Amino acid sequence: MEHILLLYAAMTLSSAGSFAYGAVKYLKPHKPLYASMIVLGIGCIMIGRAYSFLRILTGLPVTGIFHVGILGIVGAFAFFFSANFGQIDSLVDGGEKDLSKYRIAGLAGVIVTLVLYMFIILSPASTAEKITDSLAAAAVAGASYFHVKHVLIPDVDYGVVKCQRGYNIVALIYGILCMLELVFTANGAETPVFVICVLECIVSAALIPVMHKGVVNWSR
Amino acid sequence: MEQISAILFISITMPMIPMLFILNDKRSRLFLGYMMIGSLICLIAGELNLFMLSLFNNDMLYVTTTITPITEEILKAIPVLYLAIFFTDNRETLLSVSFALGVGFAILEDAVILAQNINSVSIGWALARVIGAALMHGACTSMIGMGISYINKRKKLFFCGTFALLAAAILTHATFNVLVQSDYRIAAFIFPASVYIPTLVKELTSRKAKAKSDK
Repeated sequence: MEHILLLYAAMTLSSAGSFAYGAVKYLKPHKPLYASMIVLGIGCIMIGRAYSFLRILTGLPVTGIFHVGILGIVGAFAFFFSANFGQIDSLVDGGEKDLSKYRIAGLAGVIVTLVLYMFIILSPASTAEKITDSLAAAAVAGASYFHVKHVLIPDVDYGVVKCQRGYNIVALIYGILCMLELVFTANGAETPVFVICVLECIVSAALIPVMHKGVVNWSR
Repeated sequence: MEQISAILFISITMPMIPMLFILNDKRSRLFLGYMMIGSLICLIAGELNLFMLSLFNNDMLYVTTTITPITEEILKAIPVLYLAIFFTDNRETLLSVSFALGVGFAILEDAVILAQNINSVSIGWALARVIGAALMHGACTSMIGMGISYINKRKKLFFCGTFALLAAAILTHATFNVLVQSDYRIAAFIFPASVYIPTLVKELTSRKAKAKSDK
């Protein structure tokens, strides 16, 4: 129990560090809304992990039941999706026919997420857990579509998406890690969950600095 | 005792109705009206939460840490959404109105808790409720109001952005409820301030920047 508590504390702290860095840089006037939304996404992850940490600390269960901790992942990927779809996508994709291959390639992110979700459906987890995880899978799938698309699509006009390739790769990895965490949790495999959570700590801490590097490059 | 919420609503909120017609400033009427709506939402949420409690075998801890944050935040978002769709999507107005609604909600909630625990409350308890629950309800509803302000300007951002902000508000509310019922109660009263103060600083900074650019 103690190592799970420490793990959640580490995940809360790593996302809190990333959020604090992003908040100082972007949650102020005249900063790109795209970056602010990604920072708020990390904020969601931070509160979600903090909530789960507090549940464990107060002796409440975090697996096998529905609880709102999962909204951390859902909210974060809804923000990531919204940032890419609402702010950036129209700059690189005006609906041209020759870009359809990149739109199809983006579906790879959705397919990988859905395949991982199938492992949750087939697991011995409770129905409540499967339904809750489907919310996270939907959010990760939607965001992953744009992460994959924006990694591959050529950005000849503005150079914004090109500068954010690093961020999109890191966010894509984070999405896959979140899905893997849910898959192994649903199957009761403790060791892989532990390893994935450690990786999530590293990736969530890197997310905002990588995004910041991209913003600096595009505004140069 | 079962009707206590309705009695408190009648005695605290309804006396404000005549005042609504006296106020000649449109904005003041809007904010007072939304505070009253907040109290009404609290009354409705109380009934809904009782129903939820019976659905979940009277597991008070589970319902208050998981279900009530969802029902309350969704209910509080509806009047703000209504205002944004039919009247104004001005960001500043929506933020202020959302906060007023949250505070109205907190006032009736505090009164109900006070009436139910009349023998154990103190001035310390009342102050803690002010810096804890009232701030939390105000800040959470404002978060959603911020997303809703994009309803007409940027539809692409509105749907997912508002949903994401609703998720953040539910999480903040749920975290507060867990803290309140844990051994770390003191942190529950610092937590909403840690959300409110940076938001306030951000708002004041952007107001200052806007005033500067207007000059």
